[in-house]
Amino acid sequence: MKRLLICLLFAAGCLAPRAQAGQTCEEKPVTVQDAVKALDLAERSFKLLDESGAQVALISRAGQDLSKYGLRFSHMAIVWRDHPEGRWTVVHELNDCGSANSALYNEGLGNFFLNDMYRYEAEIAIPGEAVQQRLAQQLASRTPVRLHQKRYNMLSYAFSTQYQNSNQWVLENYAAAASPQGQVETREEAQKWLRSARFRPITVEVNAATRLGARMFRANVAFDDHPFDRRMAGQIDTVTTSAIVRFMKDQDPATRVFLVPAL
Amino acid sequence: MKRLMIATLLSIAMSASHAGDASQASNPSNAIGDMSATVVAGSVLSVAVTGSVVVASVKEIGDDLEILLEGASDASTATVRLSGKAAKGLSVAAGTVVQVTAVSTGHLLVASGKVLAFIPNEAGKALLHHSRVEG
Repeated sequence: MKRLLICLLFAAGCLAPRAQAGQTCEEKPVTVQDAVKALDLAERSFKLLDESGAQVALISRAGQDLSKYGLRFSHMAIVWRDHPEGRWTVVHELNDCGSANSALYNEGLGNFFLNDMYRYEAEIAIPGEAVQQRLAQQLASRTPVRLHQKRYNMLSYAFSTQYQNSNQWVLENYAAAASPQGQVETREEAQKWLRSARFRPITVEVNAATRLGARMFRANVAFDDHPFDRRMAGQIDTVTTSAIVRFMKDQDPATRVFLVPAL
Repeated sequence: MKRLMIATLLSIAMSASHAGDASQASNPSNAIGDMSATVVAGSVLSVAVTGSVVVASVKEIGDDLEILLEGASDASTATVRLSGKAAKGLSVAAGTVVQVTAVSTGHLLVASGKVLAFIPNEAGKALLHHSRVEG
């Protein structure tokens, strides 16, 4: 009976991703409407980036409805004008579908938005000149790979190196570029500097039952990297796009933020 | 009771997933970037004057798929080549009616409301590519 229950639970877990708004592991044909909207958003983002005069920016998309957490955008990437692959290439960390691992990808802006979006809008945050210069130098080096942890956790703790979520990878690359030269070479150093610079994560309330369910069903959610007392209180401090943009503005008055609206 | 527990756990798991970003999951096969096609002969523009074309023939060339499109109203043709990745799982046969939707970045080839392929123009080519960073 126990074995049967485990099998049933496992089956239920396998079905769960299909029922949610974000991307699933199924191969889904692209609808014309989504393709047109995604390509249009990519083109408008490309144009805004070109006209901004920037060489590097941070770009966010709305992959699912997170409004109940007060969030508009879900996933952030670095976008770089002078990437060897061509003008305005997105560099980001993606969770390999259905697994607990992630990898870094270079993609066109079209690919970035052709991902079953919840809303076809984008936010582009452009750091000041000095940080952009440093980011461009980093992107041409091994730094992005060195700052990547492939053990993925959607709700990773902002100040632990055990796991990493996509937005955390962007934040730690930003930390390497915004901190005094030579101070941040590793993830530990990035997080040490982020603490000292008063980076404030977003706190998501996740109760015990929800934590148990998530651990049972999802390879890409974990809580054991969070401090015990915070975890038991259901306070999950993680890295979101809004926390990064808020931090950028606090750090660097030259930061410019643009919305590429849904049409 | 057990059934209730399964349902409860399932809904719990789903609510937890919403606290994160499901769009961080990668499924490159889902991306239209892999559906980029190239015109190897003729012109889609001249074939698609009326907005719809017919598949005259489908030829497998290695992993790739070469589709000969015929204008619905005249004898103009265009040959479109889809890479193996784009052609994977595609069910296109002679006689299939394909709509051609023009967007500012290229043309979408559509059958039964689903995108078969995207033929990027110069602006479109700059928006579509995908590669894994080798660590």
